[in-house]
Amino acid sequence: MPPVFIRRYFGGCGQLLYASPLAGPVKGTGWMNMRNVFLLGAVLLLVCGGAGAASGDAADVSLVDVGPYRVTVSDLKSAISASPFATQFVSMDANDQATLRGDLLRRLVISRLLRLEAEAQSLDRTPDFLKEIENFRRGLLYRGYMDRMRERIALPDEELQEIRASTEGNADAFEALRATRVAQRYRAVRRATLESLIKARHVVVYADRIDQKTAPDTVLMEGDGLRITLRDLSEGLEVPQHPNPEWIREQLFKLGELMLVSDAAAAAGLDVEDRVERYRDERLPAILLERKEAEWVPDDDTLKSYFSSHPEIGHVAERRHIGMLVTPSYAQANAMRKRILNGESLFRLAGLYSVDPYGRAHNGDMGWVREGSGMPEIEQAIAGLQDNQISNIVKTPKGYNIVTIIERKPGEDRPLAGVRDKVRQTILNEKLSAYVHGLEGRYKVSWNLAELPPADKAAGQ
Amino acid sequence: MRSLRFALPGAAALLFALGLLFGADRVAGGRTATDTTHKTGTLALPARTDNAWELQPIRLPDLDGTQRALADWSGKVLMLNFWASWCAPCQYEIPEFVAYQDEYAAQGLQIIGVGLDEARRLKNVARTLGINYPVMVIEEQAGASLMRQWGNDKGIVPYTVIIDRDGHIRYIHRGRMDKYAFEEYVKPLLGS
Repeated sequence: MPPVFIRRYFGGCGQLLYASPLAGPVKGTGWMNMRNVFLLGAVLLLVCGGAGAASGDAADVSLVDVGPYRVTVSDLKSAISASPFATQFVSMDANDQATLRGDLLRRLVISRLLRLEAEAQSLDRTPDFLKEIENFRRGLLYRGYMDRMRERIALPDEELQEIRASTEGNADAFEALRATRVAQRYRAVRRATLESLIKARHVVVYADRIDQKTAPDTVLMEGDGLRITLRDLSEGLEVPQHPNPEWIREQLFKLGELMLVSDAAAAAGLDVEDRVERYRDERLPAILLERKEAEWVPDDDTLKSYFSSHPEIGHVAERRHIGMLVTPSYAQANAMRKRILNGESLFRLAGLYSVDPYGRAHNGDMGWVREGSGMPEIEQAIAGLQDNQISNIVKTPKGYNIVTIIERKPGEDRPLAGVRDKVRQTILNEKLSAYVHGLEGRYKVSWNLAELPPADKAAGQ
Repeated sequence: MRSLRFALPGAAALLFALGLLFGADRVAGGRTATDTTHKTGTLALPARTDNAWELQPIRLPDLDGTQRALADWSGKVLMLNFWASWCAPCQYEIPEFVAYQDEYAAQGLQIIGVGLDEARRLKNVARTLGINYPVMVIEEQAGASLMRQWGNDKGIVPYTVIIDRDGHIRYIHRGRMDKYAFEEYVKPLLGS
C-alpha cells in the first residue's frame, strides 16, 4: 500500500501515525510487557490520524487481515480510546503516538489470532459461551430500545417557555427543571410501553408459586414465546440458598422486562450485531487465555521449579539517592569539583549552574535511582563510591557530570513468597510469546501497510 | 394448592411497575433518566460587569508564539473556551467545537481556546484533534488567576464563556458543553 493511499484514508495531513509492528513477536517476552512496546517501532508510516480524522469508509479500512478477520482503523481508534493512555494520547508528540498505535495494532492482531484459535478449539460453541452471548445481545437490545425512547422525548415549546419564565434566567435552575420534566415523561412512556408489551404477549405471573421452597423448574412467568423459571433467574447470579420471595420477585421483574423489551427491540429492527461481534473479539481470546494460563501454570510446583532455576527474579537491586551537577565543559566541571572539594555544597552549585534542567530545578537532588538503571558512564563512575564522596568528572551525552551518593538502601534477594506474582507473570509472558509465534505460523496475517522513507525524513514534513 | 393466576394488565402490570422501582436501569446498565450532563453557571463576575470589554483585556501568545488579544475578534459571537491537555471532558467537546467553527463561522461564530498548559502539549492536541480556531497559551497558575476574573473561582476546566457581538456575556458553561447548550445559548446569537 503506497503512502499516499494511507494518507488519503487518514485525512491527508501528512504526519507520523504508526511505528509499525511489522516484525514478529519479540522473543522471550509477552505482549503485556510495555517495555517491548518501544522495540517495535522499526518502520514509520506516513499517515495522519487523530480523533476526528477518520470517518465513514475510512474507519472501515483494514490495516491488517488475520485469517478472515480484519483490524480496521475504527478498531484501532477504539483500542486507543479504551487504553490507559486515552487522555494523554492527544497531547503526545507524533513519534510517541506512532509508537503507541504500533503497539496497540500489534495487540489487536494477537487478539484476532487468539480468537481464531479459540474458534478452532470450538470455544465459541460451548453452552456457557452461547448463553453469555445471548445475554449480552439482550442487554444491548434493551438499552438501545430504552435509549431510543428517551431520545424521542421532547418538551413542547410552550412548556419550555413556561420553565424559562419560572426560572427567571437562572441557567442552572432552568436545566434542572427541564431535566426533571423530561425524566417524568420518560417514566410515564416507559411504563405505558411495558404495559402494552405485557398485554400484547398475554403475560401471566404466578405470584403464588413464589416462596422459599420454590423448585428450580417452577414456571414463574409465561406468555406468548416467553417462559421464565426460577432456574432462569439464578443464571450468573449469586443465589441465596433459600431465596427470599422478595429477591425472586425482584429478579423476575427484571428478567421479564429485559425479555419483553429486548424482543420488542429485535422486532423493531434494532441491530446490535456489530457490538456482539466486538464482544466476541474480546471474550474469545480471554477465554482461551484463561485455559492456557491454567495449563502453563497449573500449580505451585511450577512456580517453585521456575524460581529455583531463575533466582534472579527475586533480586532487588540496591537503590541510591543521587546528587549531581552537570556542566557544559570539562574546564567548568573541573572548577566546580575543586570548589566542592574545598567545602562548597554540590547541591547549592547545581541549583545555580547545572545545565540539566531537572537537576537545576531540584538543586542537584536526582532522587532514588536503582543500581543498573542509570546511564552506563555514571553507573561505572559511582560503582566504588562511598556515601557523600565526590566522583571524578564523568562525560555523558548531557555534559560533564559530578556525582555523589547521599544515602542508599541495600539490595536484597527475596524468597518465592515475596515474588510469586512476578514469577507467575514471567512464566506466562514467556509461554504466551512462544504460543503467539506458533499461531502466526498457523494463520495468515497480512499487513496492509507500506514501509516509508526513513523516520527522520518523514518527521520533517 | 390451586394456582392463582392474575390476569394482566391488572396485577402483573402493578408488579412490573414495582419492578421499575427496583432499578431496572441496572439491567440496562445505562444512565438513569434523571442524569444531567449540563453544568451551567450564572453570570457572577467579580468585576460586577457582564461586558467582556470592561474586564481586564486578555493578551496572550497563540500556539505559534504570536501575541494575540481577545479584542482582535470583537464584533463576533465569541466562545471563549478554557481547557487543558490533560482534561478528558475538554477532549470530548473540542471535536464538537471544531464542527461548530466549520459550520457557523460564516454566521459570525468565533471560538477562541485558552489552553492552560505547555505550548508543546497544546500544539499536539491541536494537531491531533484538528483544532481550526485560535488557541492562546497560558501557564497553569496564571490561567487559574485569569479564570477567576471570568467568574471561575474554582478553576474548573473546561469552562466556556459566550460573549455576544456587543461584548455582553450571555452565558457561562462549566464542564463539557454539549449540543443542547450550544443550540440553546449560542445559536440564537448567530446571524442567519
